[in-house]
This record gives sequence, structure tokens and C-alpha cells, in this order.
Amino acid sequence: MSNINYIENKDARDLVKARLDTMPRNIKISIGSEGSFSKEELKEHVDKKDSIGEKIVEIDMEFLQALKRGVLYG
Amino acid sequence: MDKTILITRPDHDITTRYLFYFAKEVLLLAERKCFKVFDLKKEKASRKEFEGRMKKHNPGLIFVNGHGKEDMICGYDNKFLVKVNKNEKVFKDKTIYALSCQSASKLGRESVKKGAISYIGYLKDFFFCYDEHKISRPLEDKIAKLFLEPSNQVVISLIKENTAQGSSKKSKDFFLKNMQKVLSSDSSKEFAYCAKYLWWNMKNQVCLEKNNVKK
Repeated sequence: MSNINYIENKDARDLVKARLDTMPRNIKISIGSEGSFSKEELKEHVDKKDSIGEKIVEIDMEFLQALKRGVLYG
Repeated sequence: MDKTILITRPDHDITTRYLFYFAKEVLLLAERKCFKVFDLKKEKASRKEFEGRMKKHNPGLIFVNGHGKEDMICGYDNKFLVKVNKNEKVFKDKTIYALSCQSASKLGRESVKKGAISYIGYLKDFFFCYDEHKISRPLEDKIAKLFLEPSNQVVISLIKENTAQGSSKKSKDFFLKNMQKVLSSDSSKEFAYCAKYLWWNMKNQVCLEKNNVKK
């Protein structure tokens, strides 16, 4: 887990929820033994700030940072 | 490498169902490449069967599909197959690819310390997206394929006699290629959200060996 506590940042949570809205309704995300989640369920976890919400926000925020560092170019 | 492979493929929930079907493709490739294949599928993916086959047939390559935690990999019904301080010695002199969450962080390290040749796995959770209209036909699910083809590239490359480090690199390159594909202007916008999870899996896949695991 990153040292930055993104889940406590309301702007980060709102950004992640807005980005989750781009997911089509028929798509679900499998997160290992945690189970499978629709975008609506993931948004609820982000609002609850629980461990699943925390993972989703962490990945999104770290990915945005990685894009800035040029991760797409290998 | 010894041309014997043991594959575990439980199928008790949607996640393991997808891994079950995609691992079948690997199994068929191994047979075409003249590997002796031991397929512990569904209920047979149990600790008892696993340890029994390991002892009797001594496979050089192990491909585990299923749920995991930092200190364990699981089989059918999420019961552990191998767990730290229980039976990780079973991996001595083996090359392992664990397509499961988190197990590289503790079980992988301990296995290498106790004599595994290579342990390829994931430090954190493995994510994949799927189309819920395709759960009865996982191999037709183009979205799941974006994730499970690159992840299975590890073991495909091992079967083709690449090194463990080289096999992990090929898998990571495949994840990167798919990431670039879903973000390209030619791609349908509905796939773009997959990019962050492809990146996450790529970033968290590690190949542990004696030279990079401290005693």
C-alpha cells in the first residue's frame, strides 16, 4: 500500500467515482477472493472508505501518477 | 527443465471459473509440447491430491490458479494448498507460477528461501474485468482475455523453455501492449478503464529467485 492516504481525500474519491462511471454496466471487476463488483458497488465501497474502496482509489490515483511518469512507453 | 507440469484449476466461483477455462489452453499447449501434465481440476485441487502428486511425480513446473493471500495459495473452496510454515518445502527445486493474489509477498519469498528455483506471482491483488454476459463462455470474453492472456504468458513461455525471468518479462510486455491497445485512439472507449488494472497486475508481478530474495 502506498504511503499516501488517498481514500481520506474527498477530491480523490470524487475523481475515482467519476472515472468509474465510464465503465459499461455489463462489466464487473474481480478482485481476488474479495469477489466481483459492478461500478455501482465499487462506488459504494469508495464512499464507505473500506478496504475495497481504498484499493480502488489507490490504484486509480497511482495509475494517474504513473501515466505522468510515462508508464505507457515501457 | 523437467517436462512435467502440475496445474491446479478449482472452479467454485466466477473468478476461479475464468482461470479454470483460460488455464485449459495452457494445458493443451503443454501436451502439444510433449509435457506430462497433471491436471488437478475442480474438487481435486485439494492439499491432499496436490501433495500426493508432488510426491509421486515430482513435477518441475507448477501452475497454480486460485485465490491466495500473502502466506498461502488456495485450491477448491479456498482451502489452502500451500501455506507458510506448513508445507512450503513442497516447492523445493520447483519453478512455480501462482496466478493468485498476494502470494509472492510472503509464500513466494519463503518458498525460495527453502529451495524453490523460481516463484513468479503477484505481490498484491490480481484484478481482472469481465463481461457478465459471458460468464457461461469465459473464452469468448474479450475483456477478460485482455488480462488472462498476458498473465498466462508466464507459463506459456516457461513451457517454451524460456527462463523464469524471461517469462515474467514477456508477460509484463504483453500487459503493457494491451494497456497501450486499450488507450489507443483506435480502441473502443469501453475498454479504456481496463488500463489501470492491467498496469496494476504488470507492476505487481514478480519473479523471485535466490539472487533477489534475501535470506
